[in-house]
Amino acid sequence: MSFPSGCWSQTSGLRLRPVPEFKRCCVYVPLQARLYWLDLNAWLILELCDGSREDMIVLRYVHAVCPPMLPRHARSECRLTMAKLAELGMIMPHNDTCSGDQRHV
Amino acid sequence: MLRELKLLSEPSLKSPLKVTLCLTARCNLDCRHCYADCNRVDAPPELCASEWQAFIDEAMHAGVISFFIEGGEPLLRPDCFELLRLMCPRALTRVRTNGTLVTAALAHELKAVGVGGVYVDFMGARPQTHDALAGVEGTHQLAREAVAHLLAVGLPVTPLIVLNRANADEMSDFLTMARALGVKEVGILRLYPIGRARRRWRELALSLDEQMQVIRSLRPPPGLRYMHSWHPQNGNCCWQMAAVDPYGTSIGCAYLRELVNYGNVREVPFLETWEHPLYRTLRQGKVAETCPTCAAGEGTDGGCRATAFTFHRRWDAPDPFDEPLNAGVDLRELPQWMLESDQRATPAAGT
Repeated sequence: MSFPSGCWSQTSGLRLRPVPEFKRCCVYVPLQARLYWLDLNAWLILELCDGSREDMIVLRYVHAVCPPMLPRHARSECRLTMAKLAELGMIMPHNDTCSGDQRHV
Repeated sequence: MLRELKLLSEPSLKSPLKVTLCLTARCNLDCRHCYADCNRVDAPPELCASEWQAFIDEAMHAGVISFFIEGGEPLLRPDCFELLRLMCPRALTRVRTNGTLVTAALAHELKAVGVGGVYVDFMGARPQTHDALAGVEGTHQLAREAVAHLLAVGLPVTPLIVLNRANADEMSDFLTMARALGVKEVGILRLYPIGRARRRWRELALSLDEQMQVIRSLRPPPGLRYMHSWHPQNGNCCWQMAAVDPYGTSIGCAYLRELVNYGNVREVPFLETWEHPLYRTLRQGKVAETCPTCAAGEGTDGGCRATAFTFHRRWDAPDPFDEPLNAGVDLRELPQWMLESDQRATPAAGT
């Protein structure tokens, strides 16, 4: 799933419970009544989905993890993880005015 | 990950992730092994709706993201759905019930309110066994109907059964029955010496050999998982547990209800009870002996602390329900001190 010019936000009612002791985040998805555990990578990407455009989210992720990760790998990793988060009902695309793009990368 | 954290001198979790709410000690059954000594009448002073609401708010604020609701029979409380409506939008909320009150309409309500799963207690695979242990005729059929109603609305359902002398030869039939009902998972639980089970221990308890023979003999039908907590899956889950009884006592785990008292949430904030010295000790997972196989699977050492303490009266003792740690303990015989009336430590003496 790729939606470069669209914006991505966390789904309504999502509750994040950081567990820094385990370097993980527990996420409750009320629409499915399910809990998921995210590793640091997926947690970061979920946090970046703040209404920004997909290309901005990917750019911020690349800035956060490169180096040591190679930019090419980081872009791929970010898009794959976003697709997985969308599949699990944690983020959703929308075509409204993007809200998070004014942030510094 | 857990094993690395366990080496620290601090408990693994700084604040609770999940909590069991023992909503009530009222029940419409008379189970011979009832852990909560339930009865039909309102027990003296259970937390009222506003007190539970305040507790739930505090727990949410502390970071709790999963609630497990049990009783007694929680659906007997008229404010049960009021509380579920508070929990379900913000935390995974699962309910344990005897199933007798779960009609098709109530199953729809549970689904609509956002419950994440339901655990239904069975006492046996055969109606006569179940009804005799539950003390009320016809309740096996009601539990079966409950499972069907819950599955029909799309709720995940896990039938549970406590293995004991009266139903030991029905475990295989229980798996078959559960699969025929359409569930994908069941739980086979050990008998804990709490409440009426403690007082009827000799009547109900099996030796460890007898228990292991049953567990090892089970061959679940295709498509059915069964969970149990015997070797090699005997975890020490104290590191993550939190529970409050119907009267507001913070007890860490429902199986510790007669053994610990970390303070009452009517009198002190829940997080203050979380920092009780004994609670902190148990959450650190320090034990004298461990079973490497179980530790590898569960990531924690020593097995269940409730049964370890019951048989050895030491919080760091090995759990005798774990074969490699049993060391000759006859599980059919409770220590004398457990047969006395009140085992619970006071908050001050709890350490």
